[in-house]
Amino acid sequence: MTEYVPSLNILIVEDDDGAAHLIKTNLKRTGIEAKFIRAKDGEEAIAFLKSPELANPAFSFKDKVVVLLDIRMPKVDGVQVLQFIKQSEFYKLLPVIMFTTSNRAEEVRRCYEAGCNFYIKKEVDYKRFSEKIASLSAFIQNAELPVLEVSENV
Amino acid sequence: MGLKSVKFQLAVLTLLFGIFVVIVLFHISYSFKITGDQMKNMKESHEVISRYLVIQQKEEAILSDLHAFIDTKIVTSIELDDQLAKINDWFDDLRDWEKVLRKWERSSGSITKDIVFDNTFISVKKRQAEAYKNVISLCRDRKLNEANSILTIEESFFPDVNKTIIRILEGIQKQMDSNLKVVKRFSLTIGIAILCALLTIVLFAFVSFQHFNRGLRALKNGAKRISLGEFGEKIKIKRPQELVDLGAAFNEMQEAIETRDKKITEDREEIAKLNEILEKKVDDSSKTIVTQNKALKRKNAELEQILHAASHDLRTPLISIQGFSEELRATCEVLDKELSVEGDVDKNKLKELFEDDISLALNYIVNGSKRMEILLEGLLRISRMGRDSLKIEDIDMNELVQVVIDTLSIQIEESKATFKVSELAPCKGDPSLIEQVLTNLFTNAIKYREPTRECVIEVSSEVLTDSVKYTVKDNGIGIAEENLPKVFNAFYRVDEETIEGDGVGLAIINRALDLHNGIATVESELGVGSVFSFEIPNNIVI
Repeated sequence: MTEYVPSLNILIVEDDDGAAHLIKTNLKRTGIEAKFIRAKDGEEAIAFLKSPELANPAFSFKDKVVVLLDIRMPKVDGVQVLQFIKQSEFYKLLPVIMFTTSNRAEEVRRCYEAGCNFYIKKEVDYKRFSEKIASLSAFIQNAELPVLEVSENV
Repeated sequence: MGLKSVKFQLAVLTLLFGIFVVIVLFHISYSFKITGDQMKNMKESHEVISRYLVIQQKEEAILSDLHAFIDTKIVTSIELDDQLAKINDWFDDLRDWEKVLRKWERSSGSITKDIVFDNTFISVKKRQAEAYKNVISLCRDRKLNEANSILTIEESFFPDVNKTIIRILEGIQKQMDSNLKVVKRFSLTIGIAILCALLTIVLFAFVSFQHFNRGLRALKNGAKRISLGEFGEKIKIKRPQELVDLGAAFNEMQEAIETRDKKITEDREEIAKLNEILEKKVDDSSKTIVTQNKALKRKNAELEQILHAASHDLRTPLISIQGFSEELRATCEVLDKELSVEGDVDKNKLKELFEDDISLALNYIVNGSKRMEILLEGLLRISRMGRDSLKIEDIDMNELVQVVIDTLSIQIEESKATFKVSELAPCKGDPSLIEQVLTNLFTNAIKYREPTRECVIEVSSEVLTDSVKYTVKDNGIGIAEENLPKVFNAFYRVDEETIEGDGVGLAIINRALDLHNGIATVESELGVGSVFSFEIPNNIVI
């Protein structure tokens, strides 16, 4: 029996369709091999985490998950999602990357305090936007990503 | 100067004392005089007696000499002459003594004169002196027998000395006795007088002292009473006049103090009242300041929130616009390359590029700029509010609600919403602002309706003490409890899908009510509906 190769799932939580599209496009361009899942707001993000197979039938708990979180969203905002993840015994090891237009110091501090792993400012300038996505991709590819199954056993 | 004054009493006392002193002095001088007189009298008596005794001795010597002459019978004429001289000498002494005697008699009073030595005594002595001289001459003539008989006769006349002296002393005694009686009577009178004077003085002083003491005690008690703040009683002093005056002055002082005390109490009460008023004013002002401060802080925070939200929300469509523009440019380059390739153009690839990438990018760009326009419009609407001064009028809310419903008639028809409007109380406010409030509330109620059931919007009012409260109740999708505090924030949207919302509706309501010093509140239950209320105060303080 061959060893299961865990796939990488990137959960893009972004209320703006255009931004979500651009993030996906740029990430793909960096050559990262991943499955992209889009959540329109915090509510959808949490719904996915609770039952990933609904959005991705091929999803296995042996797969890796990275969460890309916008902050300002309707219904449930990014910080609430972050808190949900980091306060949950099951999900707390999931890498969470904040990707947002705001870089107000207090907001950054709030996110790091809530346990986010990376905070990247969403640039308006498209060139820099692409650069940020590239560095994000590098971060994801170089990081030792846990699988949900592992954290389940913790 | 009254009869009861201390001065008068002192004067009386001094007068009494003076009289007393005068009487005593008089008494003493009188006593001295009497004793002095007596001493003088006694001295004179002593002289009279002693000189008489000398004369007596001389006479006795003459008699014995004469007897010797006669007995011896031998006598010389020289001796006789000598004897004669002695007789003359004795007689001279006798005369002198008589003068002294008369003088004494004069000074000791007439009482003794008759008793002691009358005039016959001297004349007898004169006759005796003649007889003695006669004896001498008989002796000279040698008629001794005759001389002896004369002498014997004369000797029988010789006075009894002791008797004489006793009589003199008796006279003196009598004199002294009478003097003593006078002195005794005098002393008694004086003593009684002194006693009476002293008694009077003591009594007088005692009575005065009693009055004085009583007056002073009354004053002391009065002073104590005043110090305790009791002003009811007044001091009554009958005498002495000085204390009566002092008492009157004291009563005046008491009245003055009482008046002042009352004034002070009144002043103090007044001050306390003023203080209270002042404190209340300060309290009110500080409360107002605190309220204003809170309002300012709230507005500041709101503004900051608006700015932050606006910058974020403006940036998001910008990312799309810029990003897709760049993507479009890249696509155009690809297109350019494809078109410049020699030979057949891959129509399918071009079609793919146009249909997928280009139209997608353009779509996002247009949507992004539309989104930005809506946002900017909303920002403008918020910033425009309150820039013009409020026009406060009496508003017929029934009328205004109807106007708003008419304006929204298309949306209402589309959504098939039903309005149930109760009889509404009027209020005071800026009609254009209140209209915006109503418009936004109704729009929201329609926008967030629950599609599965008929949309019913109820409008009602409630008259409160200082304000009127209007309520808009819907049966829409409702708002989650944790999101309730955020609904009045600018650019907050409950559901992203409802794209036409600019996110400023509730912020505008909030702002409009702020300008009226009013307040907007929301209660909601997810899936059941929301109740938005706003209160407009009767007295709008801007």
